[in-house]
Amino acid sequence: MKVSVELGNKKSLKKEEKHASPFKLGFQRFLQNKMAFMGLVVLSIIVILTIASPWLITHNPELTDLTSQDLSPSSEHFLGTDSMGYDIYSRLVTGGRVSLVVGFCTMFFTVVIGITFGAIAGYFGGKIDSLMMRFTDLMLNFPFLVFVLFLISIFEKTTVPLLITALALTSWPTTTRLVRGIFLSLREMEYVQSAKAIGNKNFRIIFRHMMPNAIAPIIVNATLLMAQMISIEAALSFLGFGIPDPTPAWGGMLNDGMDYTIMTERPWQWIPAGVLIVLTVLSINFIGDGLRDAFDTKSTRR
Amino acid sequence: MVKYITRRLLGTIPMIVLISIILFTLLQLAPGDPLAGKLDQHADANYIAKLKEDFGLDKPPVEQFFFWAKNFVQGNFGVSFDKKVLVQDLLSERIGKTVFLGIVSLIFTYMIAIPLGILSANKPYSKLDYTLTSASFIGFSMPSFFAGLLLIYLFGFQLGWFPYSGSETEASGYEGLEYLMDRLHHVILPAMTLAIINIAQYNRYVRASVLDAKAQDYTRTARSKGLSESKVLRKHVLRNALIPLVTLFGIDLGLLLSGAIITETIFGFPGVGQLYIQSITTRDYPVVMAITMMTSMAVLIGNLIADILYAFVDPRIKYD
Repeated sequence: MKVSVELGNKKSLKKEEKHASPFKLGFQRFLQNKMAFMGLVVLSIIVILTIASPWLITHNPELTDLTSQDLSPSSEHFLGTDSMGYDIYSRLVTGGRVSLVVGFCTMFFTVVIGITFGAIAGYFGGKIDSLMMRFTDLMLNFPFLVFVLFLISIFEKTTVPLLITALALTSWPTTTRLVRGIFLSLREMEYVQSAKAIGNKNFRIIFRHMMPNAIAPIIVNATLLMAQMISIEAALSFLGFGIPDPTPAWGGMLNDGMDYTIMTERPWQWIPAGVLIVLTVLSINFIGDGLRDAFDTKSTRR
Repeated sequence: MVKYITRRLLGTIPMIVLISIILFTLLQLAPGDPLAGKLDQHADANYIAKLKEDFGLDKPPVEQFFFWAKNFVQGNFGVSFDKKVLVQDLLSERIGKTVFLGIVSLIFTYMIAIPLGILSANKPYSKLDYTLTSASFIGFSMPSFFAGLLLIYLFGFQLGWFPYSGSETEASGYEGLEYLMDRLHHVILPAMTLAIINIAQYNRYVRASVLDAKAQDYTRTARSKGLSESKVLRKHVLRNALIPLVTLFGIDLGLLLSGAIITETIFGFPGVGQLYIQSITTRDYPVVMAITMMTSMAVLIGNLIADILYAFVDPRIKYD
């Protein structure tokens, strides 16, 4: 009995050793990283809460109740109500939706643009590369927030698709540069040269041979990008250029804290929204950092 | 070197032209009339036509662009739709304040981040190092508007140490040193708000850079010569580790004008960033255009300074 169990263990161990891909190894390293794991847990909780918000809210977050304004926390309103009579707790639970959707979609589109441009520039090199990089450099000269606000100012009303477009159109250059750099170095690898030599099509070489080797740093970059985008979305809502009322957003809720009375006498109205933004961004940053340590074996950072 | 700088300077001109073309084209997409909403609906048609002529809005876009570009080069940025004053006058009042805020914030950044980074690198993986690293992560993830509100709440309201609105005491009649102290007193909280994210980043950067330099051969050589540890650190490690910071300094300079939009809004600080937010809210396009142009040019020049400084401090870089 005992022997067979041990044998079985050994067998499975051997099997794993044989089959553990760099990805699997990286993933194991990632899970061993305490901070990254914590980040994953906290982010999961926030995402689940946001998805489950329709069942968690006590009041309609988009409905003002002018009979109950500026209430202090009570059993009826867990975090009180604001000057418009919105229930703060319900808005807080729902408010993550815009942030997470905008953060994720912007990250997705930015990475798609970045991979397309970066891979083409890095793979083909030469004139195509220098032309595309000139353009990328040009776009990098626009200060990020200034340019986003500029784009938003052109349109009448801010919607989620508009916000995502404006953010993706401003943030692709950095990702493009990164992807281009990776492809430029991969291009000289022997396996790419041999794939070329046996007559593979460019498209196939880029996606079948080079992409798997470029994906780890791209994922790390995408994670950190998402954290940044959530932070920017909150900043825009805070400044009043986010999704307009009555849609709740954490950044917009923090804006109430600019009011002197609210800031000093009713801290429950603005601090929770800020804490949630920090927690979300922080956990994603920890995940990104953990991913970098896990997959970037050459890195000296620990 | 002179040749290199001249070439780089000349290279920025087409960049600036392209930037202005992109911005101008984008502005043409703006729906409706920039004058709509500025006038009540019963305004006389002749009056509207005259206003349009004044602002050059009756001409085709290409002509408008050349009209604008010619004026821009001559330092005439147009007239604000909203405030009906020259844009350059509006800006010149504010640029100095924003630059002052930015410089104080940079001083905070370097004074705090560099020593902390060195401290971290001195005993890597110690408790202190972990604490500083965690603090950096939190600082890095803290949006400036939340940080600003917390600082106002703590130091402005609870402790009452600093004022939290404006850039100086109004109608105080302060002069000389007193006036400077008053300005400083007002700028500390916003400058700190701006500095937090920078400190978090620089501290990590310095730590990595110092650790890297400590592992180099020249450090081992210096140690084996019998130099004291502090001398090794000062003369060999830090000198090499802090060089890359010079590049970051150039980039920081470029972001001086545009970096404080949110912070200025929270603190009611009358700088360029606050004006930008106001102009976007009122769709005051001449001001929006001027500020976007100026901040982009600042970034361009900042990057140029970074490259030139780097060429200066690192003799391995060939600049021709």
